[in-house]
Formats: sequence, structure tokens, C-alpha cells
Amino acid sequence: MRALCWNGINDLRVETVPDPKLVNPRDAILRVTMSTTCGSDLHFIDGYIPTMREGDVIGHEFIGEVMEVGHEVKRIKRGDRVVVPSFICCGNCWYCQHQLFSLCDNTHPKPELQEPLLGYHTAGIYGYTHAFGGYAGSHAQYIRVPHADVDCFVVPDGVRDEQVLFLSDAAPTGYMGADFCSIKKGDTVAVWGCGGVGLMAQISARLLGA
Amino acid sequence: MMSGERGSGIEAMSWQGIEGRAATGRVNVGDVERLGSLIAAGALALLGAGTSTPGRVLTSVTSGALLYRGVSGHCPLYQVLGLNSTGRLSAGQRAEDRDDPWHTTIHRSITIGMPSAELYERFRKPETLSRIMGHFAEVTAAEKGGLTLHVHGPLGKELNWSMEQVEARSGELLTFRSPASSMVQSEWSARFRPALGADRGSELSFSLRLTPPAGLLGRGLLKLLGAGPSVLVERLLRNFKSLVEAGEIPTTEHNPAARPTGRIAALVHHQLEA
Repeated sequence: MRALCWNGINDLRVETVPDPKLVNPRDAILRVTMSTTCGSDLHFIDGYIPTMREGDVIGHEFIGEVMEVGHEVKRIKRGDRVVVPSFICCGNCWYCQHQLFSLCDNTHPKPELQEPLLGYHTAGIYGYTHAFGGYAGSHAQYIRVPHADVDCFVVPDGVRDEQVLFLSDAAPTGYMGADFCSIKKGDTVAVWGCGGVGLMAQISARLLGA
Repeated sequence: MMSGERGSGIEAMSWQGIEGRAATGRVNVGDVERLGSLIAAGALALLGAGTSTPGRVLTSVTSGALLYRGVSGHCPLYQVLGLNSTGRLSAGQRAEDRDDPWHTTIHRSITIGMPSAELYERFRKPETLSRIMGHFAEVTAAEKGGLTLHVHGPLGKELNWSMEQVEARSGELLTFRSPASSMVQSEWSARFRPALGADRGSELSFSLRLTPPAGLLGRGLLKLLGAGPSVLVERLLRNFKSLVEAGEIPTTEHNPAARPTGRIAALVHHQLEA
């Protein structure tokens, strides 16, 4: 398949890479229909986050069609159109059970790369350095999604891809920013930075009553 | 310590490994060995001077490599094998490994969201041990509740050793030890107890002592297989936690990327990155 790969600081190239495979029984393989760029991608593209390796496939905000599922996947099926969060969650650990999904204990294959720096490890993320798991990203024709029953959200018919793509990352990130502000009905809110996340923060603030 | 902050990570992880890396730089050859390398480089250069052209080329290259090793104190082969004869920490070593990790008992603990009795039953199964040891070893049942470990080495070589069950207290403790005559001397114990906190499950404390055969060579080969003793224990506990909590062990095997694939390429890349 073709994929956008990091080859060094400010050096991205579209290259041919092997297709992903089902590895674990809860995996799904998706055909990526839309994948978008996040502001945080710029951090490692510019070389500010270490542990990228030449040839890594980047991208962590995407929507796609399910092509194949592992034998333990029960809820998601081939042909489903799904949007997937950028953090990979198992749904069973203490953190997932307490809705602290980005701290999932069971989806980071290389926590020893991250713990010395942060003091703890996060969940794995698609296409976002080996310190965050080293999973291949979504700027590709296909992607492997672990724990598909937990991490794939089926998109209802009649909703376009571009309407739900940002539920993968930018929308919940912006919503969290607005939620932190304890907004009350009638408040006036200023948002600094009108990128994708900033726009989502504005919409979220309006939904919360601003 | 992570355990105090999060309650479900591995205890005894710390910043010490990072400090160790900063302290050592690239020097991984001890002073005596460096002197030996310089003497050998000089001797080879003298010997090579009187030989035929192919012999001169070979001795010149070897002599140059030894000269580099002696002057710089850095040995690329040691780096790939994860060895260090300076007595200081090499990349990836924990501070507790400073003396000799292969003669030190490594202790680690992890919190797992499951009752002790259930964890005990899962942990004692050879098939579970095989899965959580990953590529390092396959485990099969032996007589009288014992285990046999099969380590698949390079060129199809296999290293096998048996471990006898020393103690088994249901839901609490498992201890295994290799017989005195074993080529590999090893002992491990797994202790299970309820974790602090009502909804936290259990705490699994694991201790390992492992002395491979063939001195530095054996240690280097095990390190190549990803089995530095502290890293081995940490991976084993994390893999067990993921297996019982999430039903599978996280992996990036067969990960699409635009770079060479294959086990040897991955091993060399991993070791050079460490």
C-alpha cells in the first residue's frame, strides 16, 4: 500500500510499505477513507519529539471502512463505516473502567521508552512516535486497529465522513478545553488559536451555553 | 515511583536508567581491556608487516579496529550485544544492574485488576508463561509440577533447562528453581496478594535470579534476544497484566513501515537505538 512516511526532520515522503495484518484476535483492518493532519504532528515533524524512526507511517485522526476483523471481534463487522479515536484503549483496565482512556494500561507495546521521561506511560497512539507506542499511522490506504470492539464507533447512514472525522481527535480535544472552563449559560468565552482544535473548542463552548 | 502515583504500574522503575545513560556516554570497554586492545593492535601490525598482501590487509583492518577500541574505549560489537566491561551502566541498564545483573535478584511488582486466586491459576500454566515471555522462551510442563524452558538461539541452536517447583501455595506463592547440576542457574518466585484499594485487584510481586552459561557470550546472546534481566522481568509482568486484563499482549509486529523488515534487521536496529 502507499503511505505517508517520516524520513527525518521536515522530510515526509509517500512510499510503498507492507499492508497491515491482523495480529491479535481483537484487531480490525480498515480501509482509510479520510485522515487529517493534527497540529501535534508538527512537533515530531519538526524534530521536537524524539523516538521517530525513518520510515514510520504517520497520522492519528481518521475514519474508514472495516475490511477484516479478528476472531474475537464481536460488535464490529466487515463493511461498517467507523471513526476511531487516536488513543488506543483496551476497555478493561482500571483507567478505561474509570473513563481515563488515554492512560490505558494495556495498549502501549514499548512503555520503557516513555516511563523514564514522564514517570508513567500513556495508552498507545497511532503514528505518533515510538515513545507513544510506535503503531503505524493513518496517512495510509489501510490501518490496523487493535481492540476494534472498544475503539471503533460505527457512523450512522446519512452522516458524511467529513462531518464525523474530527470526532477522532480535534473535537474531543476542543470539547475538553471548553469543559475545563466550567462554562455557564450566557458566559462570553475567548479561544486563543483558531486551528482545528480551537474551532472545536468554540463550538463546544457554544454547546455548553456560552 | 510510578506505583504511588498510578497504582497499576511496575514498581522499582525510576529515572536511574536515564541518569546512567547520561553518565556513561559511548565508552563501554574497561581500562584493562583497552590496554589489551592497544597491545594486540601493535602486535598485529608488526606481524602483518611480513606477510602476503591478503594477510597484510586482514591484519591491518583488525589492528585498526583494535586501535580504535583501545583509544576510544568504544566497541560496536559490545554495543550491539549490550555488553559493558567498564563497571558502569550501559544504555538501557538499570542502576541496580551496576554490579552484575546476572548475579543479582531482580524484584518487580505490578497491580492487576483480578483476584489473586485467579491470577495464580493463570500464571502457573506453562502456556501462559510461554505467551508472556514472548520471543525469549517457550515453556513446557515437566514432571512433578516442574517446567522446562526452551530458548531459541541464533542459527537454530536451542538452549533448554528445567526448573523444579519448590513451593506452591494456592492463590499466594509460586517458587521454581533450577537443579544444582543445571547449565543455567535460575530461580523465580511469584507472590500474589490483594492490592490496596477496593477496586484495584491484586498485586503480583515477581523475583528473578538468572545466570546464563558461557560467561559474557551467554549474557550477550540473551541480551540480543531482548533478555536483560530487569527488562525481561518488566516485560513479563506487563505482558501478563495485558493478557489477563485485555485478553492480548500489545504489539507492533508486522507494523507497516518504509524500512527493512526481518528479525535480524529489527534486532540490530533496536540494539543500536538503545
